[in-house]
Amino acid sequence: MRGHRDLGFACTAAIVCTLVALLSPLPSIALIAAIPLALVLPGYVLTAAIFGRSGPDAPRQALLTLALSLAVLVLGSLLLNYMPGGIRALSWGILLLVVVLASARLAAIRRRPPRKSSRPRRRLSPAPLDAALFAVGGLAAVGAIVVAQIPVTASNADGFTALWMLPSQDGERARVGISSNEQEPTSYRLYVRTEPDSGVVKRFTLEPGEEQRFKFALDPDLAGRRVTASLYRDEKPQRVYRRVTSWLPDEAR
Amino acid sequence: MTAVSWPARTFCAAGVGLLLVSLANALARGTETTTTAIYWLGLLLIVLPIFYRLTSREASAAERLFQVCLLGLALYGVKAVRDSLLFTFPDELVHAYSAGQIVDAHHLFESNPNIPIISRYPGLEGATSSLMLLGDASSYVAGTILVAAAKLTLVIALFLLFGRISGSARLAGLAVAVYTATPNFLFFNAQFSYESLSLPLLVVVLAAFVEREAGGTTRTGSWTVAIGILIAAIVPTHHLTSYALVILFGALAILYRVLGVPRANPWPFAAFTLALALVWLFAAAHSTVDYLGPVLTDAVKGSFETASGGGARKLFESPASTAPVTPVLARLISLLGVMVLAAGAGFGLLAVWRHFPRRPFALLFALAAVGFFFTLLLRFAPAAWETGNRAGEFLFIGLAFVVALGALQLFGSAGRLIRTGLAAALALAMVGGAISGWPWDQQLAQPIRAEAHGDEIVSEPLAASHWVSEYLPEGKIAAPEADARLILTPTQREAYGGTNPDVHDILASVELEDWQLPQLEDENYRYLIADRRQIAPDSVRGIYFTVDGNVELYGRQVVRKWTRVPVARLYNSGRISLFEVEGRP
Repeated sequence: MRGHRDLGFACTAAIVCTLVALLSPLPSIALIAAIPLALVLPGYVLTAAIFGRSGPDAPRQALLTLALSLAVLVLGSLLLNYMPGGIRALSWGILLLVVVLASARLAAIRRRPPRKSSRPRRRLSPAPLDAALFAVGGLAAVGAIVVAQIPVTASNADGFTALWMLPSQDGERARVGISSNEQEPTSYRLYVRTEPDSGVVKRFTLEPGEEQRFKFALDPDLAGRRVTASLYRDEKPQRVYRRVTSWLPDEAR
Repeated sequence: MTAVSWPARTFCAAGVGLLLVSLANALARGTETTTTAIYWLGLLLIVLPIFYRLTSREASAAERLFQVCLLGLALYGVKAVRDSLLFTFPDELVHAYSAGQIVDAHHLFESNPNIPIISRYPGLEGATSSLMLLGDASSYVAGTILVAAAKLTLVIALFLLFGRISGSARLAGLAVAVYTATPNFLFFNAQFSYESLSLPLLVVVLAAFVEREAGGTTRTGSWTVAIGILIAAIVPTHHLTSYALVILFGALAILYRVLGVPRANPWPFAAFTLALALVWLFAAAHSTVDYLGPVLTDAVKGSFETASGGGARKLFESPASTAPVTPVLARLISLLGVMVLAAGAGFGLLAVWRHFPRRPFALLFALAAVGFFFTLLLRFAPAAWETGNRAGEFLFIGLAFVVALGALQLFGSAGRLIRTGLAAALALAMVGGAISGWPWDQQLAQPIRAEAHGDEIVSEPLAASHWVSEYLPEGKIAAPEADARLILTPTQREAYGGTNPDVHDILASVELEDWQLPQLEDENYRYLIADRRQIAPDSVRGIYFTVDGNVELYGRQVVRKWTRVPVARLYNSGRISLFEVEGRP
């Protein structure tokens, strides 16, 4: 790779990105490393390998870098599908690294002697006003993404509360949950029939977005019978707001 | 004083425009204000300065390329900021399920109950799995990044394709601007779906082909290898795109022959694509015939029925009965947009005839431009509108070239005022395309997550999906379409709401028929979801909060019929209840 600075850089970047993507405990760092590893480097070096001595100009290089990277991902997933272990983080990392290193080696052979840039590099130095406008545009775009991710108050949206019950497989216990997606804090009364002729009452208040879970021991005499959980709102204490039911297995008897 | 450069101006305008679009969506999610005007203002702020600059004579080729890249990414941003953090388009949820299947099972071709054909063309999901696994990302994050890369690829490829054929960067930039008027550009082809990847790759193949033709003998082999790799990637990604590529190369081969072009005939590319498509069809995706066959047959039959006086489809009306009517002004803008394109195409066709009478690609584009207007007629046939819509996005590549050529013939040397008018006409066509390509009531976001007292609350279907993900033991779920699709991802649970088996009728019927419960058991459904909302089968609209109690409900019997069986009712959020079919007494 001596003399081919771009290929050397691509190989180094691929090794670093692979290691960071595979070893980083932080998902965001892993993702930042995975993006160039998957979407840029394979296409760049593959283009260099395919075109050898007479590489395309910058716009076509950019196009092929993106398009061939996408193609490598599509075809790579097919290849990994039939490899031992299948499609995993490690196999993706190894595959992309092999594609980059092998293509770079091929490109270096096909390019000989090393290309020397005949044109002096242009340095980007935007005027202060241009830089300011780019900054405003960039900040606005970031702001757009942030705004898109923030939940906003939707006071006209219809709130609701969900009640659920899951008996254990042996029928000796039941988990009951209440999750509030109401617009306001709401007070409830929960009644769960835990014995043939009686049950347990719980009173509580939930904030919007809050969930309350209970575990109840069920009387063995309920085996083979129906267990019911009923939820009432304090504002209408006589009216059942939600009801869930379950059938307990006979074996618990 | 130093003049401000155009890239800085358009970049700033696009950023601010995107922020306006995002604010409009946020306010729309807030349900209290009508924000349509802010949304369209933001969209115009993105496109108008770029369109205006692309009409100019002064901009360099590099700057035009910058402008089209900015255009493509900013318009993709419009889709990306609509429902950030989770997929909401119906097809996206099914594709995301497939991507999750690959990550979980470590293999392709896992079954996908809702749209089985998707698992037979796993190119998009396989590619997405790389970012999901290496970047430890959700299918939403990985898919959004991947489609952004594909979108950028598309606009660069279009620019280089048009530029090489016409020899004019100005025409190329304008043609890309025209291409954004494709009805599917803003939303449908920006969603996480296989066509959003395959269409850009198809345009790259065409761009690579014209480069191969123009590059002389030294680079022919290199471009051929690149084309081969790209075709090999298209075939396992999307059925229609690979067939469209066969047709495009086939048509080019005929034109080369008829015109006596003194270069190698491109038939080997058509043959190579066809061979790969056939191998894939028989080796991995034979269900494609059952999937596409009825669609195409119905389209042909429906077209003849409509042409012979049968029931015509009304324009701007969604097949879903729950879709509201598109306002008159929006319809008018959309129709004016089509008229702008038709006028541009008229002049463009004359220009092709005058300037490119023996250029195969230009003639192919002219044919495609005419063909596009025929596909618009298919929109009147109820069974054919979708086929016309899909065909249109391929044909629009040609139309974009022809319209841009016509515009430059007419206004190429015009002054600032005329250029402003041209940019406005392009914006009209773009906005018109956006209106006709996506339901009017779905242009802006709807509330699916909301803030209440400092905490987050979610819509009833999304809450059911979260609960299934967190608590429900294993088992297949029968559910109305909207609920089923939300359950698919990120829960990776098998949930189905279609008509084969006829889950839709079983769940929507008021009385429990004798055959219904046995059918669910035969199909191994352990759970079912009964949803009283009549919007529940509508996978586009049925996933959001209802607002101000404004919701049509089925009778209570839709739920009560299950309690009478009796089966266990494990979950109840008012309108949505989940029952366990297995284990009843």
